Amino acid sequence: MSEPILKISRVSKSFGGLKAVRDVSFEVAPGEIFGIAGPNGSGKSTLFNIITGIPFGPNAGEVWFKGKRIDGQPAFKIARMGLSRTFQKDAEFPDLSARETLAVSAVFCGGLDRRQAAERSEEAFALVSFAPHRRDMASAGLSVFEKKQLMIASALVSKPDILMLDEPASGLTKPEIQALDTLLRNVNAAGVTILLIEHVLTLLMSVSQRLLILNQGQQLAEGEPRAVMRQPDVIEAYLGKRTQ
Amino acid sequence: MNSIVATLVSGILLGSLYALMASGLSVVWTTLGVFNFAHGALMMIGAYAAWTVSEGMGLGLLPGILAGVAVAALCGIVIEYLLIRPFYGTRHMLLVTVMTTLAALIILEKGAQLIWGAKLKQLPRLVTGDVSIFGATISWHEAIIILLAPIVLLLLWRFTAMTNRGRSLRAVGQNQDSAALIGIDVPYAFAIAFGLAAALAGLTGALLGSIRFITPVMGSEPLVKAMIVVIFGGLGSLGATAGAAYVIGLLEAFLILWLGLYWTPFALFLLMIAVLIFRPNGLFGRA
Repeated sequence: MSEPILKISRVSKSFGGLKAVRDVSFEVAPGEIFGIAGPNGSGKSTLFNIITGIPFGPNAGEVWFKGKRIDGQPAFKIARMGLSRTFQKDAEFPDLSARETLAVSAVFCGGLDRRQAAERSEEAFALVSFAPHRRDMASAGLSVFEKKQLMIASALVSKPDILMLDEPASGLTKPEIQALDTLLRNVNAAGVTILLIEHVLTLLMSVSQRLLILNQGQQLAEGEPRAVMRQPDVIEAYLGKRTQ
Repeated sequence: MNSIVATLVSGILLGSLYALMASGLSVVWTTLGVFNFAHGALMMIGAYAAWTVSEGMGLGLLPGILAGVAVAALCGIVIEYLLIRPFYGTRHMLLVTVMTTLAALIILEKGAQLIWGAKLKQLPRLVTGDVSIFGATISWHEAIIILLAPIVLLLLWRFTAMTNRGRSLRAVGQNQDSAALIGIDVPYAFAIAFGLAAALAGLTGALLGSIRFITPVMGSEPLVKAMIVVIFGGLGSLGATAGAAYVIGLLEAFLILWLGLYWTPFALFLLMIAVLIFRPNGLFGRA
């Protein structure tokens, strides 16, 4: 693998007696789509929280991005360095329009002026195929799919190096998931590395080049998606132990 | 007829002052989710700072007003940094900041008494003389306040709606985590919101210091009125706050005319309770 763009080294996170993430390490290559899967409560979103510093960093371990250690950095600085993320829940700013959301992101995260921000917003809208006539309405009034498109566009408008998506397919219909599949491929083709947490395995298996499986906060398997999903301990984590 | 016109004008003047005062309170609430009980004290600091520069140093009223705005803004930023920021994200933050902003109120009031003494002070008027509006006579200074309030509110609306810095404050108020993810320095946004609100309080204090006496407790009564305005209008919207300020101002003026000075606060609070029962999101608030 080429020099990793993201390197996670032995990170752990505990909440009182609960060990949410335990000693997880992996590397992501530039331009890769790296999938993360695991049963509910396996620590996937906590891992994203640790990497982006929102709302907390790790208790132990290191996070390296483009050769710089970023754990302990404020979240807005990590975002400005080029590491973008979306949340599971949609509607980031219900009272802001899609256009306003992208403009703020382009200015504060991308460091652009007003005119450049407007141009870059149009590019981001086009990349996620966001309907032009819906761009000036308050985000609260958008459909679930449009809110997902907006979240991805607001993450992309600052031209990040890495886009981290937390269950973007949740709540979407089959055709919308297919559209999301195409969208992720287009974003990746534009040079953006993607980290993807997803419960919709068809989407995850379709787009991921490598896959990491977490179970109870621990790293269970990592590698080529189909090979990983055939491993008995992965099947057991998802489906339970086979009875004789 | 003359008394109705005079009451209308008086109501609009009160509404203008409440709008200036309450808009700052509203900015802090929408951005930080905190109710700043020191807002009235910041108004008082603005008035004293304006008096010190204008009368104490003899530099004139306009530099005095600018100094009042600047000193109040600075005090607001310091309060945010020392008494609010340490409690962001903690449990019961709302309750804790009620206590810390009440502490700031006491510190500022007692501090003002130590610095400026108990002797009543007053600022000169921006312009001397009176003006007649449909037969009702008010001072030019009061007329300027009536004209200035909508301009300040319009500028504030323009800032929050049309500039990216203003939008960033709205974004922070709606979702702090997502705001940080799009590169917004959330604590810095908090400081700006608090400073801006304190500057508005300082401006109100400096304007009020010409028509009322400046005392360490001069902000207490306007603070209560501003709170009624913000709750009455509906928490979280600048437009609702401005609208409610004028409604309350006019109501107060007419209640004084009809019920007298002593029953008016009682009637206003009764009205606020009724609004909260029948429209919990305020008169202009969204469900």
